[in-house]
Amino acid sequence: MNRHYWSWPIATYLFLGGLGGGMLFLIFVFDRLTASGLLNSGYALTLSASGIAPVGVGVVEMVGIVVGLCALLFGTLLLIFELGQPKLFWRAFITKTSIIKWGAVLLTIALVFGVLWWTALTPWEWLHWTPWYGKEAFAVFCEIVAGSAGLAVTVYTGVLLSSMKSKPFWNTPALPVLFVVSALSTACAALTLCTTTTWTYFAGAEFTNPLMSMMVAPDQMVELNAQVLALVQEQAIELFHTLDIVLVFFELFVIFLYLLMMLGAGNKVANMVAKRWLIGSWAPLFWIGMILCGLVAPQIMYLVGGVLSETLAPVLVLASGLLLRFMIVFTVDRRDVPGEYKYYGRLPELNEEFITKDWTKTAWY
Amino acid sequence: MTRYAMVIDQRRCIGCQSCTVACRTWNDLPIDEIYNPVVSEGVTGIFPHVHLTYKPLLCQHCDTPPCVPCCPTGASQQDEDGIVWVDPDKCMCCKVCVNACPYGARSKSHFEGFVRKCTFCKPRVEQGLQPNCVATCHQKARIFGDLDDPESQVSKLVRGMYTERTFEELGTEPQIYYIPDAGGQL
Repeated sequence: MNRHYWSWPIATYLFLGGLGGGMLFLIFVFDRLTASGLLNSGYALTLSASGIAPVGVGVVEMVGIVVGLCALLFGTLLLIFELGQPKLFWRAFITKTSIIKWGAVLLTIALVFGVLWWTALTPWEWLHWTPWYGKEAFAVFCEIVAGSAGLAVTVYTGVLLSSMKSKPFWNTPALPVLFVVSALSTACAALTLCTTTTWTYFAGAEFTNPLMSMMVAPDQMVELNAQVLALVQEQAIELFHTLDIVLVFFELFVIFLYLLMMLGAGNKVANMVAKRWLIGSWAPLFWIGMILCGLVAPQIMYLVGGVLSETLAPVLVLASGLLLRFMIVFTVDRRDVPGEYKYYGRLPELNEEFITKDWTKTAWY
Repeated sequence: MTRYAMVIDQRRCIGCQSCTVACRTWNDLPIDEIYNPVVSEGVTGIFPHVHLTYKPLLCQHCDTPPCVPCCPTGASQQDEDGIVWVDPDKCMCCKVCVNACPYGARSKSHFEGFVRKCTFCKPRVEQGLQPNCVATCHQKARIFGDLDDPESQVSKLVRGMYTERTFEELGTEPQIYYIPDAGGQL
């Protein structure tokens, strides 16, 4: 018997929260913790007032933060409107012990500091009135806070599900690992997509992307050296591809390890759910959708390279991340007391249908 | 101190479902929400040694309920007398407690936006009455009382009889004690 109490908004939120948090974290890592300083150059260019537009990875970073924040915001809205009483959402902040409370706090921190971080660096001139615009120390502080909160958001979504004693398929420490790996691989794919769109935008003569044309003035655009840009973008794409190859491989590894663990587990319900994934009703979606199209095919595209690796592969990785969350939310089950399945199987689904149904047509006489 | 608990004597339960009906009437529940289903595995064994056992289920009012600490709003709470209940004015219906309960004792109300569950008929118990399912059980299969009172029928049964609890290995310390109908096995 399949009893899931959470539905598509929660599954989508788990994906979007992981994606947004992961993007903020990855940008923070590339920006602050890598020796290459690829993104630092982007920073310098963004902040310099000498007329040079923010180029290269700096642009990717600017776009990436916006996309990540939008994902987080949309996920949070889904969460709020999925509630039975959305008006009472503020009550999520008032207890001490609940994991959801910590999730709400982390989401708020990531969103607020993400917006501060972005507005401190934004190339949009109409946003330059903020007192913190151009303050690099402040931007770095916000970056550290938002990046860490982003990672914490990806972790907490897994911890929330794995804390449920009632669901043997979730209640394992491996679930947060799976969530974090999947979140980082989807975030990396999204960053690849951001790079691709900015690259095609800058490399071509026509500037059709409305977001980008808002960011960079047209006369500055002309001065951009296409060759330098191509080089920087190539480096960025290579960096994201290498990282995503590792992450997608690791994700495949963790998924199979997780399912093997559940198959080997003594728990009958966990066993049953793992079989649902591998050979049961969800098997076609799992093998063809998630494993073959969502992880193996992009992996091959990444390794081969070319146009597909910059466009289709990241989209497939993103879709497989979404599918993973849906499968985790929808296939789960709690164990029943013997006889419970039979009992609930006999009940009508909803009150309204029971009352409005015309019973005379189906009566035996 | 008071610690409310229930003993369910499965040897006496005949599966008449009148506790389900009484509960539904008292709590005014819609058709797909049931606080206390009476489930049965069906007939077991080979003739002439066949057997039929019923198991009435309800909220276990655990000593360490998984549904209380997970609630982000403080709506899901446990009184000092052990009754676990939801304050509908505080509940925002995130359904985390519905997911956390291993017994499936909680449900989201389809018509009002909050989660509800069996409360041992809290208003009745406060007046010194029995919960409705206990009051209606003509077989006296449900016995309700204070576990901390050594003279109560509940504590005498729990101390003196062999009792079982549901999913005890999860560490939730459920407070519904079943006297199993072993079918001549014990």
